[in-house]
Amino acid sequence: MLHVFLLLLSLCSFIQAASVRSSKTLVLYDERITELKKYFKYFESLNSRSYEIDYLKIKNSTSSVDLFENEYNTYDNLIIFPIKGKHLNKLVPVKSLLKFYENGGDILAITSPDAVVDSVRLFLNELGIYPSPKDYRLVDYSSKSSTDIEISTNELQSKVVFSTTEDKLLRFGNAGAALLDNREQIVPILRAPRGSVTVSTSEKKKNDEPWTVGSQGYLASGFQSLINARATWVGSQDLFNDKNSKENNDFVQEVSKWTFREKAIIKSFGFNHKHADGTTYARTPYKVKDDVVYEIGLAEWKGDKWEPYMADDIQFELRLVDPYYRLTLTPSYIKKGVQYYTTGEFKLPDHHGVYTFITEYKRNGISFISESDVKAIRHLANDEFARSFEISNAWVYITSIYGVIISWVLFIFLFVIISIQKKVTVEKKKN
Amino acid sequence: MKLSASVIQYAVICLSVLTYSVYGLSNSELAKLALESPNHIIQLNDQNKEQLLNTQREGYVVVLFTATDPKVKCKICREFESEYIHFVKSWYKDHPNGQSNEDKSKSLFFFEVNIRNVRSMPDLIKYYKIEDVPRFILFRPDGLMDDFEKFTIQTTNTEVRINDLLTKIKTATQIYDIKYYEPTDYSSLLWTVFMTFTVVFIIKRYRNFIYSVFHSNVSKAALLTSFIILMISGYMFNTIKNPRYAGVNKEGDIMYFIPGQLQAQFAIESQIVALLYVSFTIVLVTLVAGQKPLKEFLKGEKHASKIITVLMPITLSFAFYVFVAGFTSIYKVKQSSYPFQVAKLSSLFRRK
Amino acid sequence: MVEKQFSKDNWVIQWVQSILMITIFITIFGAAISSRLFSVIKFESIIHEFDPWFNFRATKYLVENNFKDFLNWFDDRTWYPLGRVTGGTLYPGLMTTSAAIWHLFRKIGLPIDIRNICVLFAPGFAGFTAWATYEFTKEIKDSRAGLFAAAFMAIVPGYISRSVAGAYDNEAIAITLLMVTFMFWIKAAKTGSILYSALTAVFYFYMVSAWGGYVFITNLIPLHIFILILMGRYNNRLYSAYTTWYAIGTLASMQIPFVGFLPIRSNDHMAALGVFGLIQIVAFGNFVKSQVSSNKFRAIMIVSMIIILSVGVIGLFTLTYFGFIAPWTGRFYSLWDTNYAKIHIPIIASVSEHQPVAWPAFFFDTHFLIWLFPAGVFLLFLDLKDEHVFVIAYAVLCSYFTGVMIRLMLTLTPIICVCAAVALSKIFDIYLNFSDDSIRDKTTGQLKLGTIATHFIVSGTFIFYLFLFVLHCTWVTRNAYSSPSVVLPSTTRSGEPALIDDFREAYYWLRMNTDEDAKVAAWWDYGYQIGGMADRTTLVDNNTWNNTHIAIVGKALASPEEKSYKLLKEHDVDYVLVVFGGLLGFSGDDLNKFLWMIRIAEGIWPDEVSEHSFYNDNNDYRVDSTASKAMRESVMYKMSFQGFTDIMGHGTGQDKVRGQTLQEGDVLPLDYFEEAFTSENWLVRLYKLKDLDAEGRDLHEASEFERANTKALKRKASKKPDLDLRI
Repeated sequence: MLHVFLLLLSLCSFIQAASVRSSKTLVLYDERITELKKYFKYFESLNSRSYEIDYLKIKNSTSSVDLFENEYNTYDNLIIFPIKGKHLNKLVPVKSLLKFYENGGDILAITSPDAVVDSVRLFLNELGIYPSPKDYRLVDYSSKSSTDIEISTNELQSKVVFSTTEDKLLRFGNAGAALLDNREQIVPILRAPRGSVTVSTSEKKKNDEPWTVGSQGYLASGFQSLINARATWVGSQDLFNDKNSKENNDFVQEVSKWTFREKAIIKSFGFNHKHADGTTYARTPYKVKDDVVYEIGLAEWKGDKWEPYMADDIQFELRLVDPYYRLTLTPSYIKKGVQYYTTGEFKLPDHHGVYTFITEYKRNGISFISESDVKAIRHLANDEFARSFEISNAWVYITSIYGVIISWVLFIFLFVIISIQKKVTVEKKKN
Repeated sequence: MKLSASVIQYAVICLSVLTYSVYGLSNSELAKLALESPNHIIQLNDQNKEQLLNTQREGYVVVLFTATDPKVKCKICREFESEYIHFVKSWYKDHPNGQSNEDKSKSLFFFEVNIRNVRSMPDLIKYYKIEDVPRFILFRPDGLMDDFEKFTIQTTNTEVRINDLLTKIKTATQIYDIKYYEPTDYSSLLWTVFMTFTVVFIIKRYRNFIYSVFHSNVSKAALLTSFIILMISGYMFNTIKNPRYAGVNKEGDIMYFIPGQLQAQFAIESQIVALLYVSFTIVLVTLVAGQKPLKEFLKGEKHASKIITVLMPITLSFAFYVFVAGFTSIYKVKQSSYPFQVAKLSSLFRRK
Repeated sequence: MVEKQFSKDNWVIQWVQSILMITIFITIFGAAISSRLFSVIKFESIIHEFDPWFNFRATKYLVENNFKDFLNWFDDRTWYPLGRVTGGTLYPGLMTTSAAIWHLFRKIGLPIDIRNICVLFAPGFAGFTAWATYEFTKEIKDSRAGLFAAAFMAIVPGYISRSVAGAYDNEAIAITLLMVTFMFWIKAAKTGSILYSALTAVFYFYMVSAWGGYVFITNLIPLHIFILILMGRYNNRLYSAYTTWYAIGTLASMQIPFVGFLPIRSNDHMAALGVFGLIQIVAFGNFVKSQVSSNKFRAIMIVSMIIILSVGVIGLFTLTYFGFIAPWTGRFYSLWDTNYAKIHIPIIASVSEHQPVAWPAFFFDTHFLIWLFPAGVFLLFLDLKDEHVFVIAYAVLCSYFTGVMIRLMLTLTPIICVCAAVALSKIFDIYLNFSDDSIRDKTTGQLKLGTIATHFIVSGTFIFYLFLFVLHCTWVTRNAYSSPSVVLPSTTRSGEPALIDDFREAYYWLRMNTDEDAKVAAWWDYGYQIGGMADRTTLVDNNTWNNTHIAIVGKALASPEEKSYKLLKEHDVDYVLVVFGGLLGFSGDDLNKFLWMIRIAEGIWPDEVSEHSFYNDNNDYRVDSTASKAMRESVMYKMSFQGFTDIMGHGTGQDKVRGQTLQEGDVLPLDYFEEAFTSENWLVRLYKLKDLDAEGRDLHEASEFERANTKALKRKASKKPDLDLRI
């Protein structure tokens, strides 16, 4: 009974939650830089979407951060505000941060030019995001105030994460910028303006090469791993500040939603392939040149329920090392909030082998889908070829075979008759 | 005669070397030296190394380090010696003064260091850190003793050796008009002619006999049986795997059998084993079918029937036993754990 | 004469003879079967080696399904992802026979496990081989020689090598069928009986269905006929025997899917077709000869011969040129041109069975029969009846083939037995003859004591050799041919015998711990065993039909990790299995076969794999510190030696096979694979392919990250990264 109750309970929370999964969240912050009350609005909005948030102050006396219990993550999400000093490196070393991420935890990492902690930076480096080190800050010479950064929504990079039609300014204030590498899993969110540059503020390094120049740098970037865990880096904590809420709120909300898997989540509700006439593989295994149909059901998470996912670029592949077919799937029907896509009838190749039926749908920013099934396609059995008399070319040979047989029988018949007569004559002579 | 000639030759060489040493060696001087040396190869030793090597030269110099003395047991050195001589001869045939015809500025001379006595190695060997022979050192023009380049050649067979030497010298010196003229082997040609003649003669002379041999079953049987014996004594192994003819063990004695190896053999093993098979066959065939011909042969002899029915079979079966004992003791070498050795023949021979 | 003398007591003699015969045959059967059971007694009732595992698996499939399913069996668990059209590419004779036996026993109420039938299959058929050899030799000489031949055949190690209990291979049945076919052929050729030649054809068909070596019969019988025609011994008996055999046999053999149209398309079979044509012409010529005068006949013959020969040769060349007739198959070709395989088909040359034979092997496999063999051939030549021509042709051809390829020792053994039996029985005919007209003086009737003594001595020595022969056979069978090579015999430190069971340990681990659909990449030698014992999908196996696919595995093992990983991932491989004998001293391990893998891969991708790069600067094949770079980086090397220097505890590892010592740091860490299992004696090592890195790094970077300490990482991160322009 208790189990059922618990299950129900979890189901309820599931429905209430805006994320596709539960949202137990840990916020790490440093009192010296971050006064939590200044970010009240941001956390309030998270709370309103049923996030369970634990706050943990990182100071020199903090003894531990419990990210894991028995190798499993204790939290679903991790928000790291800028933290000064090196203490966090000991509490949460880069390897455990990566482990948390590889276990499926989502991470929102915020850095600030005056506080870029090493473990976070190294973690982001492994994802291909290279935030400017401590004391580097973005300076925008093209705007009014070169240090109080405001960035136009024109610089937004990912429609999946956040798009807006109005042209307004996002207030970043004191911000750092990052370089991104070429990895396809990176979801760039906001690019630095053309006239900007990231330079060191410390006297010692003043003449060093700038970290980013112009639109080479990014102010916010997401990353989605192959197991669909998401991480987002934002280069300024002022972005989340209540005082900037009016300009930034939409952007901040959408970035959080994307990071914590409230949006851009699609899921396969199973695939299925069978003979064109409906018989399954289990009943009749495929053979070469059979007609088969393949379908797959996809749905998108809309905050409270799954809704049909619509797209026209989903492709199915039939592979034997290399793809034999690559078919674009067409929508066929909707069932229980799931959109089913089908290949329509297609003919299996005229080559036996063990084929992979695979749909790989990997679009930037959207959760990855890969469904594959390995099935053998056998050759024609000995009695499945066309019979000889059905092939007009073979008639010549058939005729000749029967001709030979008949003439042989005739020959034997005549031979026997003739030899009998001879025998008779011989006997007569003897007599 | 010969001795005195060589003494004179040496004296001339030493004298000329001494004269040249002061000025350095010009091409013509080296060429002269080469032409005076046996086989046009200038023998290099500890006495003349300074004069020959440590002076300004105009041409390239190739030095072969080798040991042709049989005591050194360098088989390849001995094989290669004659090839090297022919190689050098070929060079001087085309270029009598050692000068390349294509590029007159380049010339090439050949030296040799032959290790005669292992106990007292020439200093040159140590100086150039020669660890194995045959080995080459090439000296460039205008260089002194320490400006050299070591190289070795592949030693698989004559053709490979020569080709390798050719390409290595060509790439190092950039002299491309080097050729190797195969020495014509008149002896084998003569031998072939002689053999053909004899065979034809014999065939012509004993036509009838050969005709009867050719048509007799016995000769055909012998032919086919020999073929079979060849096959079962590992002949194909020899042709395919090309094993060594015989080996040498750690003590330096010659080995006729690879011990403890069922899947490998020396070439000579085939011959020994084939001989044994032939003996087996002859004994058996005589035992079975020998009585009749023997009777014909001994017709009229006094003890003919005793010889045929008693002496011959007993002798043959004893011979067979001896062959069996020999065979099994050979086999015991190949498989030391073999338990069914008939008799230890070797122990009979060892007892001295 | 002798028979007339005993005509009164004829029935007694006959009874005694029959009882003796029966006893002898029972003894021969008993000897044949019991000597083959050493493997069961010394080890256990287990399927041996490699190919038998496939045959066993196929037999199980046949028993579990029906014949039609078996015929159309598409095996999706080997040669992934190509699959194998198994039903159409195997010789079904062996499996169908044992399935038939299995069904028969069930019908009569004896349900026996199919494994036991498969294990005991070969010993059972060995008895029949002995019987067929008896019948064969009886036709050649007489029943005395026949009994010798049968007894030899029963225990000769050359045949036992492939037919001990557990050696469930095609040869187990094929040699029986070979002898039965030849026996019927000799009878047919002697009598011209259509019944016998039809029986020859039937057993020929059976043979075709059982073993690829049937080509030997296909060529030997025509050769027999051809030689007889050349010797001018053509007669109508030969005509009816040959034509009947050829027509029925060829049509029947074409019913085997794997053979198909080969009998009329492959050059291997052209000799039989040619002789079939020739014998028609000769028959016609004979007919003409009986009609016209001999002078005219000679002219006719010469002209027609020239025409026929030229037409035939030209026809053969054009047909081959235009591809209507397939050229010789590689294995066959390598028999003639001994260097062909080495140059063109490394996969054939790599098999140890295809190596030439050194002389000790003959003695080892046949003992004193090899001494009698040439003499037997010689003695038969002195008689030279039609059937002797067959034996001589067989002996000459087969001794050549055996010299080239050690596995054909198996086909040579029967004829060695026959010839030796003929020679021996001829000796005993003379020297074991103690009848009156041999030992009594014809005139005086006195006993010839000298002769008697001689007879005793001569026959005594040969009986002594016979005795030695039995000892030798037993010894060889027990020590050399009874190992299943799945389980290896060894001794413990204290000298007690022990078994090394690493292979089964590893296969069982695979079976129990991996996904049922897991794909295992291993060198092809282990394909059948993985399929049979671990029941996992393999990329390549011992049925080496696709050289390219084998080369893929070779390339994957010879390449550096990154390249290998990519290639293996493309083929959905989950595990890689390598056999490593360095710890135990097992010389048949993968590193010793490695050069062949490289050569085979080089044959397909000469730009990417080069044998030369696996030798170090001194041109040596080394595995220690002086190993070449390519060697050190290759997956095979890394997998074999992973962790090898740690086990001894002092940072070095002694490779017992190659006799080289590895130092710590010689073996670079594996980044793309992780060790999944290593058997007790390190004989089998299994590695799992790591998943792609979730963060999209390449696995080398990811592993470097795992290995690096924080300081090193910080040092790296303090510099501005050097990135490509983001597109």
